[in-house]
Amino acid sequence: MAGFASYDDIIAEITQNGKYKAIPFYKTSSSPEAAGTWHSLWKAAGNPGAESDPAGTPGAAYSSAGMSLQDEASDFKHLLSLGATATQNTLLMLYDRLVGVGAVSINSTGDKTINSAALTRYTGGEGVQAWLEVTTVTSSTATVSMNSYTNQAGTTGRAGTSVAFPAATTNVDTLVQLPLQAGDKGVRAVSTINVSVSGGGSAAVSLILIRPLAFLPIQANIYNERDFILQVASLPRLFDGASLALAYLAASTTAPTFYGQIQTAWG
Amino acid sequence: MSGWATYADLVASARAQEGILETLIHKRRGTNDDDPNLNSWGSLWRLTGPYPGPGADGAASPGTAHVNEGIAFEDCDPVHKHLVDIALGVQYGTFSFDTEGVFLIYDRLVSVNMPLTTESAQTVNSVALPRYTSGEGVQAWWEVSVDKSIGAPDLTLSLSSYTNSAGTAGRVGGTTTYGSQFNEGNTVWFPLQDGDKGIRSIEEFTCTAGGSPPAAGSVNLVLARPITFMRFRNFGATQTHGLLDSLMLPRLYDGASLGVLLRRANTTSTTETMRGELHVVKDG
Repeated sequence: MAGFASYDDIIAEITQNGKYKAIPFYKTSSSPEAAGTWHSLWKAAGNPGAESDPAGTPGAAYSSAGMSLQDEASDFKHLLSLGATATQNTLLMLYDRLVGVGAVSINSTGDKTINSAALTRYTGGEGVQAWLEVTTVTSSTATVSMNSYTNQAGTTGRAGTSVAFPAATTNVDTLVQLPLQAGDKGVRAVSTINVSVSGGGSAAVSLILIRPLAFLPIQANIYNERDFILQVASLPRLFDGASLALAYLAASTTAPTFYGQIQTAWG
Repeated sequence: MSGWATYADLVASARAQEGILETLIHKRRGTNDDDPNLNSWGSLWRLTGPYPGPGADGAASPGTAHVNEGIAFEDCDPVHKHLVDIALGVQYGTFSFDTEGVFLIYDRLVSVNMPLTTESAQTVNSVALPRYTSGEGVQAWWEVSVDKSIGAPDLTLSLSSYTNSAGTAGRVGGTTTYGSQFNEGNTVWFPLQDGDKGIRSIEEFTCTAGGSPPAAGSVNLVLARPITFMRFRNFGATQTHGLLDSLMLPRLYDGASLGVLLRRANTTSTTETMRGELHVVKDG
């Protein structure tokens, strides 16, 4: 049977069977928009190297992109820890990047076709979040909503409330989370988004569907670590094809650099 | 069979005679020794001991593959070794309660000493990795060996050709800056080309100086695998970082050559002493 039967079993799998992998990371961010805004490290330089913007509609489901593990036919993979230091105070988020739809112009008002590719992990959509990732800087404060999406119950035509971008000139890599309709608990697919106030200029975004896995508060230049065995006994599962990525909640407009690693095991 | 079946088994190994390996760390930085700036990574590799003694610069191209150098443990194949505990602290010449920062324990795989006096692409063709041979998760950084000893110009350093962990040659990394404030020991990590997940070897290194290369200066290009990070704080109080209960049990391969990077968050000093110990348990 896949999965760890006990604390002892984890030890045996790691040390007897070598089912352990650490993924170190070093990422230098672009400039965040402002304190209190989320910022993506998907395209940040470092090691692993930067990733690229997704294709236009219907985009693609990510498989083993970003920080990734090998597929395991008969084992379950789990996150053991997330640890990092950064050059600024921040909150770091580790997430599984599920689907991306790129080249969505928001420089005019109206509905924008997304028709996102199907989820290949967390396929029910529960806990899956929709975000916009800025790929071309805006020149006026855009206001956007998901006006047609499928929720975690499979109900189509759901419409979320709108959200305004944090600034007129919202920086590239800024993340804006899209609110859901009342009562919904996740997103399975997105059909269209609506731009009620244009971002102006050549403003463009990618729509991404993600599943957050862990959060880590960081005091500048101090190392912090979350252990998911004893400290937060959740052992988040990493599904085959998981495409792990990082984002952070900025505390200022200064671009931080991150150094850290995640540790995983399977059995 | 290598490995432990249970927690009790692991603890029994640690208690057994010769089951646990311990090594001390005692490094001292004096005035004008390698002295990295605040909020920059600094390497302890070349600092005075007593233990381990100062590490050497890498050889010139194709460099040095490090085996059982720096902080090292006995080879014991087919038995495996796992790091289970670190205790490490920093004591400053000036007493301060406010000292905080980060240690990184890493396995130093390869280093190549390269001059900064030539403003062109220089052949490196680094020796093969002795461990983590695919290069996945292997980081590359430069470590100031001989300071350029002048202010301007800033230098731009990059890996202009390397082989990634998938075995693809001719990859081109991003640039880094060697600023006027840097000192010997300062360490800066190289960014890789988009999509790469590690580095297997370096073929070419480029230093640009806007037409005015310094008359002196060199760096060690280092290929290394981070093992674990830990926090430190406060005037030499030893911090412990237990990896056992949380089952973060990084394996140390035979030949592992552990080094330490330090990142001071909020103090300056003329002297520092790093003291501590690492505990490793053999699993058979």
